[in-house]
Amino acid sequence: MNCVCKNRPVICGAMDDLIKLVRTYRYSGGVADRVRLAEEICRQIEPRLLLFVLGFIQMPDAEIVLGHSVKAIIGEMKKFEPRSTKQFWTWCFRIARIKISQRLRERDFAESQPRFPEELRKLLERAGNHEPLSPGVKYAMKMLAASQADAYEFLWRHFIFEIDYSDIADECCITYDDVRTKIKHSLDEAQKHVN
Amino acid sequence: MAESQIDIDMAMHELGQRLRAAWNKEHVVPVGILEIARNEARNQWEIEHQIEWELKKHAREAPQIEPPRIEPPDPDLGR
Repeated sequence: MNCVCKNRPVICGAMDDLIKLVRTYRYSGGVADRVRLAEEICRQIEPRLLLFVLGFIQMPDAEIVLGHSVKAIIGEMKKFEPRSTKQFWTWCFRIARIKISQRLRERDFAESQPRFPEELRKLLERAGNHEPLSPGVKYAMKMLAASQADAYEFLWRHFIFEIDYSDIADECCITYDDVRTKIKHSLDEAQKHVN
Repeated sequence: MAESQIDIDMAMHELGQRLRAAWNKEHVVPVGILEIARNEARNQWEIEHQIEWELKKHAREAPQIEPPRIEPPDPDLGR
C-alpha cells in the first residue's frame, strides 16, 4: 500500500515500517544489507530526531548532536531489541538527550540556550503565512519560551512530541504520577511567567 | 480571544501539531547524516567480523599437530 506521506514519519503510518527495518537490520548478516538498512532507518528517524534536538540546542550545534546521536543509535542497534516503535523512539530520544547534555556541557552554554529557538519560531511564522497561527498557538509559544529549563523539557516532550506520560516516566526514570504532576506544574509555572 | 480564555492544554497540543507539520513540509534529510549512518553500519559490521576473521586466521597459521598414533592391539596378546 502506498503512503502519500512516506517521508514524514512524525505524522503518518510510515512509523510502522520503522520497527520492521530495525528488526531486519538486527538479523541481517551481510554488510551491503546493513548499510542499506542503516541509511533507510536514518532517513526515517532524522527529521523527528533533529526537531527534538532543536528544542534544546541551536544550529549548528544541533547538527553535531544529531550526528553523534545517529552514530550511537546505529552503533547500538544490534544490542537493543525494541518491542514496539514507541519503545524504539523512547530509546532514540534517550540517546539524543544524553548527546545534547554532553554538547551543552562541552560548550558550557546550558543556560544561554533560548527556549523554543529562533529557527522554530521562524518556521512557524513561515507556516503562518499560509494558515494564520491561532492566538492559542501564539500564547503556547510564549509559554514555552518563558518556561524554566526543567519545565520546558517536560512540556517539549509531552506537547510537541506527543510522548505520553508513561514513556516520559520510563525515559526519565520517574513514576507516571510524577510526570503528570510535573507537566501540570510546568504549565502553571509557564503561564505565570507569561502573565 | 483573551489569553485568559485560552485552553492551555489544547493550545500546546496545537502548537506541537503546527510545528511538526511545518517541519515535515520543509525539512530535507541532509546527505551528510546518511553518510554517517552508512559508515557506522559498515564499522560495526567490520568490528563484529574482525574477531571471526582473526580466529580463522590463527587457525590457518597455527602449526598442525599430528595426533598421537595408537597402535592396534596385538591379536596374539592374551593367547
